[in-house]
Amino acid sequence: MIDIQNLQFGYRKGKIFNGLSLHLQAGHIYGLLGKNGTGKSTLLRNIAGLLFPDEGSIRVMGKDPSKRQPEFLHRIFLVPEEFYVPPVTPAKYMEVHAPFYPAFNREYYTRLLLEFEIPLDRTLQQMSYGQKKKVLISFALASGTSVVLMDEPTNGLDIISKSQFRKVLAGTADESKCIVISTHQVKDLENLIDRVTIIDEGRILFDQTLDAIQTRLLFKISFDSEETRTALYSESSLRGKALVMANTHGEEGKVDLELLYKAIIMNRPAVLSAFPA
Amino acid sequence: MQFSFYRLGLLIRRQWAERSRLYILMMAAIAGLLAVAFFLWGLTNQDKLWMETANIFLFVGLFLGGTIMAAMTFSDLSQRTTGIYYLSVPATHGEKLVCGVLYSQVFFTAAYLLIFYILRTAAFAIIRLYPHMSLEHMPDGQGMYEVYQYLVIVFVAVQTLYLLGSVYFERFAFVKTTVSAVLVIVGFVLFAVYVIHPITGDLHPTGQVGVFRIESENGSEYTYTLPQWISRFIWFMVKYMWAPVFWTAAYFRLKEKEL
Repeated sequence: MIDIQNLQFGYRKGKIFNGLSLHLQAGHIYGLLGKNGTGKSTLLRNIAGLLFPDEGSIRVMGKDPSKRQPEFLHRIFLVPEEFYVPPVTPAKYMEVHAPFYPAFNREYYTRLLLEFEIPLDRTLQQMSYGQKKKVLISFALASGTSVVLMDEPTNGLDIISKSQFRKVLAGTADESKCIVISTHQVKDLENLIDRVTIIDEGRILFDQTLDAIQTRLLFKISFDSEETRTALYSESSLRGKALVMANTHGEEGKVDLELLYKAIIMNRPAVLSAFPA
Repeated sequence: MQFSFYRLGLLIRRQWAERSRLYILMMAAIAGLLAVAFFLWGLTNQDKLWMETANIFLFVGLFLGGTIMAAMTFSDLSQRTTGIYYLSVPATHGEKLVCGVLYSQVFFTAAYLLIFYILRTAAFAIIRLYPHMSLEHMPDGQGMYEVYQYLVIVFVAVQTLYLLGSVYFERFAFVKTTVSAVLVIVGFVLFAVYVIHPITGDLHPTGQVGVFRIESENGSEYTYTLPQWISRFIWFMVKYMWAPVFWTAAYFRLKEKEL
């Protein structure tokens, strides 16, 4: 669905991507993790056709995003981290924007607005940042686009809204959709994404499905010094040592995304050694 | 380029829904300024008023309002947030450009002319109520219509230049377009004086397009005339080429815009 080959991209101040390749498929929710300024937003804007690669190629649903053709744009929706909303009510927003998206689901949009407890009588500009973002997320999910890109979608959302967001997103994902969520707030994506892609300084550090991570890695709290010694990554916590270990005995466990992320950043070769080449 | 009138209609509706308040305020401000201008015009001319002088207001307002409006056409592209919002709308760049041209050049001009003529009719009606004041046509008023024709042609060209400026300059598009236009004109004059004139020597332009006058060393004067079709073509291009050239440049600039 999204095929990135040897992407080279840079701003005047310097190169961001130097030969990045990535293949994203339909039917998945991808978590694009990385520190601030590592190129996550730039990658999403390249995929959305708002920035053009210096070299290499990007194909989204077989199309070149940089051409920004309507048949491409009505199948992709980007929720940027910082965004503009016009001074209209959510209903008016739907009335004027929905016709651009042939698969738009009006009932679903209205249901999501109610679920997010959006004040329908106010204009978007009269709403709080979090409310605006929830309207935009509702529109994105109801738009029926095959690709939904979200840049730090949980920024500015309160705890309840984050939980609503996770629930809504899980309910929207299907086999025809490719959802890419970029964030540095790793915890917000737990139990949501099914593939983790970590980028740093414009290169892919890690790209695995959650199933593969569960099969190959074990996340646990331990006081056992032997386990700590053999762990791929460890850090102290109030409850003991938080460990990332190779899952050699096929144990079932929950993936701790934050710990995984730190393990990749701090000790990538060791973590990758747990996965087949 | 695939062009859909359906999508163009959607773009027009979307823009109206989101900016109608701004447009109404802008036209109300223009109406207020024109009303003040007509009031002062009536007040400062005690007896005889030439109807044609009212057209000064028409063109001053048209040029000022029209260029400001045109310079706002692609103001969304001046910021990343609004720019992403604008460029992500599923429509072609051509449709977006036409929508911008319609609002800033067609709808604005139509609304402005409507307001102007309503106010002018009202102003003339009020003036006629005062017996000591008279409204008359200028004795050589007919000649003014040729001037108006040229002003309209210049207006379309200048307005399109500001539209182009709005897609080129991210901030202060109106000021930057004005400065750029002045620099280009000054540059052209300097080029004509210091480069063209030394080359052409004694070749002087006449008032007619395609007709040149040469004074020889012995004092005789020759007139060179280009074939009529070339003269007509040059004159046609000088009058009408600007807007299509600027629209085309704006289209390509819009296509290559990155945010």
